Amino acid sequence: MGASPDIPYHQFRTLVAAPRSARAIAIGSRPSPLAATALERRGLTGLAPSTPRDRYLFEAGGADDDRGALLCLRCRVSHAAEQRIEALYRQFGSSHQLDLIDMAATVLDDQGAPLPWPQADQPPAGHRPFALEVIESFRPELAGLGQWTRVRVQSHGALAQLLREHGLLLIRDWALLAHSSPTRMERAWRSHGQAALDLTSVRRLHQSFRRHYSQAMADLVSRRRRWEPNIAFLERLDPAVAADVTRRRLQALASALRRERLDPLTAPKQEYLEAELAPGDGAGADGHAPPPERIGLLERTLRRALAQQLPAMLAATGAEAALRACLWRHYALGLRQREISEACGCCQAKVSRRLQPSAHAGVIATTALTQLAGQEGFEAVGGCLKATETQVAALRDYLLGCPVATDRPRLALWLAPLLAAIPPVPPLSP
Amino acid sequence: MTPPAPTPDPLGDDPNDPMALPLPPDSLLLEDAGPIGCAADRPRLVMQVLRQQMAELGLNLSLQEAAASPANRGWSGGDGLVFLLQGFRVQLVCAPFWADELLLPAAPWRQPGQSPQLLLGAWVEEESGVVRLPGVLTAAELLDRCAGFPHGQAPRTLPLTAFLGGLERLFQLVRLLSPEALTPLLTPALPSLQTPLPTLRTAAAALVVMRDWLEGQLGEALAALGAELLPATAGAFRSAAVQPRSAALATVSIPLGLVLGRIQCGPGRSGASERFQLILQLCGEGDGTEWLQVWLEPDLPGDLLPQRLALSVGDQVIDTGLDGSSEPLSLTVPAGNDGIGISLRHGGGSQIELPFLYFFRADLAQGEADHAQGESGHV
Repeated sequence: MGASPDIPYHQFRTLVAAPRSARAIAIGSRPSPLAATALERRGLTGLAPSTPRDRYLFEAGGADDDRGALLCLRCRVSHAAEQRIEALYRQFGSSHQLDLIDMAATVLDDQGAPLPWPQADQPPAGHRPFALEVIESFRPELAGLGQWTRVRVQSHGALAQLLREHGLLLIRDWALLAHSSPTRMERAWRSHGQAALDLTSVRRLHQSFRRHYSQAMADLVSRRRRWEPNIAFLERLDPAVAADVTRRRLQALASALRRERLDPLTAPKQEYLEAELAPGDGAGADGHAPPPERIGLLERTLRRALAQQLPAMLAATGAEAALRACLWRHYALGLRQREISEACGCCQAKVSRRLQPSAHAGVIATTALTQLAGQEGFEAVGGCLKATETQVAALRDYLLGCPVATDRPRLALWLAPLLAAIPPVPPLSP
Repeated sequence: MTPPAPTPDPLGDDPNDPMALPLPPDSLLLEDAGPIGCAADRPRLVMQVLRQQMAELGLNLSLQEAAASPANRGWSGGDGLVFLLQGFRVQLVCAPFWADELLLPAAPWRQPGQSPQLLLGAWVEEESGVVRLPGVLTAAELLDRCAGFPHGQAPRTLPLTAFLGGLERLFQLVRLLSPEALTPLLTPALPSLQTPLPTLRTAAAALVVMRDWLEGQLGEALAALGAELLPATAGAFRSAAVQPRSAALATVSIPLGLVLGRIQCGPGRSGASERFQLILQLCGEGDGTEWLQVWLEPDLPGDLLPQRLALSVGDQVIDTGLDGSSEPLSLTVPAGNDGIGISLRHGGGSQIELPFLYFFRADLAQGEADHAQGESGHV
């Protein structure tokens, strides 16, 4: 027998104890008998969620101050929110080392305690579940609760912060629509648009949105909250169409734009995290190693500059100091970023942000060049742009390149003895 | 009351709609973004990121922000500002994170002697505290890309892909180059013989009056560049492509060369692998008509002029292109009261500027004007 279609209205999706799982918690179901009773009272038992039913529960339940109806809606939100974070996890979980439980903790935080309907003039007391925030802002005339939950997940500060740490940007529809060019919009719709809307309508709607969005931003007095279009705005875009239809169309346009940017065929090639150099890269300005008689001078100067740069590479306080020391120590061993992230207990995006070996190599090469300027072969440094940049690039590439028969960049090789000479930074006790 | 049955939605919600995108590799996160920002916050957020990254890399660079920068006077700024970094004038222009290009304001680039030397483009997501810095352009690179900038009324845009080298390039340039090595688009304002005398007197040391050549006087300014006076028709023996006018009155030659991409003159030319001559020839007819003929030719007949050399004489510009040139570059300027600015630029950014050349001395010019108008006057 299949699951009852009305489950999203009377079972929360939330974090539950899971002793057998790695973290002893997992996403699971928590039934709400009060919600089930409210469903039965309103004749919705056994019926699948839908936009009209969401609206009915919202309006009738709110008018009656029916906490059971509110629980139904909270359950509904939790199912929709779980769908969104699972979609994110499917798409980026592996490449960006996302943790589903960490993501769930931001939006699946409703344990089902009976709560009053949110009142605009009464500040909330105690913990306020994400679902309640969604319901408080819900505009049934603009979208169903499932879509509305998606919008709120997209705007959720804690989730956005978590994803940002992992090298991902949670994108809201409006800025993306407003700042994408008509050319890009057309290209995106041709590749990823839905057949329900023709290209001419897309062009017209996009153009109208851009024009009215600019005006809306200019009229906005305070810009300290995330802007959302209201009914009046949506009706101005296309007076012949209902506001909720225009909103769904705009979301479809934004979805096409996001897919276009993710599409490897149409988007510029992107290396999501700092590129790892292949062994043997970067031997010199023209791809040739420096002359042997010059190598000694260059290496001495680069090593001296590295020693000068080391304090900046390690500078941090508290837990950050221990993390940086761990990251550089493992970098010096020749590990790649993913290996470093596993060894030091952080995501690869954070490794990339904290290490920045290419940026530090650039600084070291520049410092070395300031010391070499004016010497034979470096006469043009400082006076000629092209010669200066060529020589900086050559030194940086040499530093990030690997000597023959090794797979460790010179930066790592030279860093190891310097780190060994520094007292180890003890990790903070938990 | 039972709710109505649901109707099919032609634009149904897509559960797999990607709600996030990977951050581009040249993005920087603000560690302390503060409350949600708006478009007006973009320049401030970029400056914050700049300081953050300088601290991260241990760079102790002098940074003077917009409010104190004299380059910003008279410019409202808009979506950007001008700041000083290690003595370099840098224009910051911001764009929304999802835009494909930014709008380039011309006002700061029209300030003679104060126009920026570098352009930093920034794409800002102010709600999330993310800044994308794809790189910088020098003034010369900007001019290569936007011919005629900053003149003209049409707004200019630059795509994200036009910028080079990331933030690292900005730090490298300001640490290694001297500010003089990056010439801004506009040189100091052109002094004119029509201006009052005090300005003329103070500018006299930098002026060259070509009529002095007829008396064998080259002037210190040109001599310092290694210039030499030649027989009037000396050009006839060098290049058949440029036929010196039979009315040649005086000829000046300035030997030049390229050393590691840098234009050198005088003793510095000795190490040049590519050598050429800048020839200035004052010409005149019996009826009083005068003109200046300027040409650039290789040292040895049959040699090529180096590629990416651009000769500017007043408003005229001519260059050797990407393949170099087997023909000399030649320009002609009719006589007038205004000084003539002549410069030679190499694609890599190296540039040499001559002192302004005048056909007439100030008193002679005023005297001729007085005679023409029948008025007595004094300078």
